[in-house]
Amino acid sequence: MKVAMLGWEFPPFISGGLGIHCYELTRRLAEDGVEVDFYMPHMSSLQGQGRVAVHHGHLNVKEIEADPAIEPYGGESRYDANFNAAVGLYNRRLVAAFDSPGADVLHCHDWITVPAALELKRRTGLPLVFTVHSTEYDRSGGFWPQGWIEDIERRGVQGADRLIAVSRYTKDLIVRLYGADPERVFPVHNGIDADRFPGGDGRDYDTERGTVLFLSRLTPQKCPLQFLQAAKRVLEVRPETRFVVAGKGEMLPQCIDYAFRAGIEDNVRFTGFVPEDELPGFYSDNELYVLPSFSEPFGISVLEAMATGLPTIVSRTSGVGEALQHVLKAEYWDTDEMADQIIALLASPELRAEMGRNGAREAKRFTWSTTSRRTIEVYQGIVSRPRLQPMLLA
Amino acid sequence: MKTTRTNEDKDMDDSRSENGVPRIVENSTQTDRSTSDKAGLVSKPARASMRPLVPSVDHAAKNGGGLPMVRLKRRKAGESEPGGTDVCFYFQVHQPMRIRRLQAFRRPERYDYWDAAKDREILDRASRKCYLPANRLILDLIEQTEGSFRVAYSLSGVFLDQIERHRPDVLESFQALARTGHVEFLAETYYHSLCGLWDDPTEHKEQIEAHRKTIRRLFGQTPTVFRNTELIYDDRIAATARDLGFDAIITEGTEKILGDRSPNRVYRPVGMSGPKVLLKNYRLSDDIAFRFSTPGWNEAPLTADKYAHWLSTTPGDTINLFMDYETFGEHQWPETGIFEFLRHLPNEAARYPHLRFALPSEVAADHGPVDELHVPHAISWADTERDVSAWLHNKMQHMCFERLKALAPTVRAAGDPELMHAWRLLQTSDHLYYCSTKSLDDQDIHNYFSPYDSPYIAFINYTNAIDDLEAKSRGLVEERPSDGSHDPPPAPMSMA
Repeated sequence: MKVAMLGWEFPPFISGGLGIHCYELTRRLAEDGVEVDFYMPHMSSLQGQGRVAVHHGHLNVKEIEADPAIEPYGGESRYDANFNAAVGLYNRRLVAAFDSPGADVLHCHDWITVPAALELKRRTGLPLVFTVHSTEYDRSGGFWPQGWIEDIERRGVQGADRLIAVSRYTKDLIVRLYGADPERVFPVHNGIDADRFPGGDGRDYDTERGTVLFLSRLTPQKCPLQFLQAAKRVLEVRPETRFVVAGKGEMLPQCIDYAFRAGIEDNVRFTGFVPEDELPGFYSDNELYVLPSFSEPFGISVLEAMATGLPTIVSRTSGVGEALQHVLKAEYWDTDEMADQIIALLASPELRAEMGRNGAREAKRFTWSTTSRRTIEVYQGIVSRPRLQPMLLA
Repeated sequence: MKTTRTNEDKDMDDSRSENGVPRIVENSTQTDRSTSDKAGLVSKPARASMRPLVPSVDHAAKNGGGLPMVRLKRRKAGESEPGGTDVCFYFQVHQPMRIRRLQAFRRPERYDYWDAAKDREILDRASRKCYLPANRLILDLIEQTEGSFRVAYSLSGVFLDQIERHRPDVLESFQALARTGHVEFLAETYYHSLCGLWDDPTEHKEQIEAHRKTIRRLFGQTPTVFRNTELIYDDRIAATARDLGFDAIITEGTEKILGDRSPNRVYRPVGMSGPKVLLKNYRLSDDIAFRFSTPGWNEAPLTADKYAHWLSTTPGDTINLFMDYETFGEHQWPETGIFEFLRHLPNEAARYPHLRFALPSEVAADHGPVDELHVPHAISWADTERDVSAWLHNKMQHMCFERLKALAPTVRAAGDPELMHAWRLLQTSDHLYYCSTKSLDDQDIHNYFSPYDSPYIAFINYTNAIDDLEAKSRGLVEERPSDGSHDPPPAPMSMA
């Protein structure tokens, strides 16, 4: 089987779960004998690292020259005019450069690749799988979702032959928001590379580290202000607690400002962006991890934290929470509940140990092999169908 | 009509204090609780703010809401012939008071730890689906068979509190069963507590005594057979049952203590001549309680005639069928046919002349012990291990268990009945059960029973309640006026 995959982030240029997913998925697909052509924008921040293809022998990476403005999550504002234009350019060039003879299926990831995917489906007659890693609803955190992006997502949901959602939570969302046919939507969870996040069994829970970790992009979706509000509540009862906010994003100035206005600046440390290779050590230096997202389609970082043995609090509106027993859950807006759960974890080594050890075992059950296997099942469901007559290129 | 008050009458009235709190630690010399008038009668407690957790029942008007003494009727002549096999049903009835979501920075008023709405909802549902229809069915069966069909119950004190307060109709339906004379009531710890596992048996004995008195008051019967919480049993618990004068104690018939021996015999504890030990036949009990409607079970559907046939071919002196009463209508829904099964069972069993239904006290009276049981490590009827791991397998559970145990001296020293009542309600085994983090099948059952999202929330609520109780009890002990005397409070009045 051969897959023509349309993406836009890939190691070493990762900003979120999408790139990790594509990398781990394609690795496993290759191990299972599936050939992959992977289309992505050529990132200008290469800085002499060579083409992305150099890093990966297991698939054919085809980089499309693109405007630097397409860099994912770059820049001050979420979507400025330059970004929109760059997305359009990428899609047009992708269609023009498309060259994957023998491909059995098209597979696109998130809205940025949808226009090209739909056009290529029309031209080649190949069946299309659309993986929804996140929606505009999630990313906007409830603040002014962009209508034109929602339109693209809706067209992708309606036009694809099969949809993969990274959780049942996300499946319900696209059925509700975009009228997806539930029969055609397959929830497939992300996984983690457990080897990269060792820990759990050997961790010493009796020694108090006393720090509460927020590690995410600082955007409305991830609710960093709610984290800080919970922090303030915790400090009323446990004034010695320390909070770490790790990550970068547009809300950093707002978060720092809040810390000062709330009088908690001495107890909150802003570390900035944490590189991939420093993550595992970072987790183990903290006492617990909190992800209070407004809406989290999956939440790979939760599994990473748990795999290292870190007790974790996650919002109820998260994909990963649906499959986890050994976490604590709270509504993203219920900062009192979050605070109480933090206080309880800080006060009890027994609770930390129990949640931490069981959670580590549970997190390691999410594997990329399972993700890949389920994805192949989705491909097999449509690849056998007879192809439409390909239309001649205009 | 009695012209003189006997000790028995006085004990019946005294089993509840004025504010309705079960009087377990009674000490009329405690100075901070009440003032005596000239006649020496105890008047309202001095602490005006004390709000009774259990509203007082107007005992004088309703004769304690209880029954006059009811003599247990023996079964019909001819049914105690040697060579037959007893079929002994015992049903457990319990509802805990569940801890509500308690947050650390919102200290509860007084001892308001409880989720009253949830408890009420569950009680009403269980009453509708189980207690009322099952009681009515069993009453019918007893009347139709003229007492050949006979069963035993154990009703926890925490459950009795709730039905006295909220469901007098359910209480009346159990009293109707008691009035037949063909239903036996067992004794257990009042608060369905795990204190039987404490080293010091004082608390255990006090709770059993309080429960025994309550059964006497409500059902006119003094229990002679004891079941410990969740059938938890070891040699020490057997000794406590002996010390309290019970004729028999029941527990789980696990291979751990039996080896090759049959559970269908009567035993005695090692090194003691009594009490007799009756063991649950867990295969036949669980066929009804768990497997009855399990899809894929190769014996489904389990009909009364099939089951009666199994009973008839089971060798031994007695087949002890011990289960949770909620089997009938709650765990096994009516659609499974569980009520029809029970309805037809007496008739089907009657086809086999050597089978006869029996009460636990009858089984104990009619059969000598065939061997002794040495149980150094506690067993129970819970989970696949049938030990105490359901409540004490992880560190969270151990922490809460030890803390409550360690609070005993402080709570007793504080001398406040409301505090005592709250401490004892926190001893109910369910709280620890909800904190279990076992994997696979057993945990599924724990989750089914748990009102919480996760065992971690259960633990957080439990810990916050214990923290609060601990702080309040320390406060009470510290604020007692120093009268120069540092003697410990006098020992509680014996309730025997």
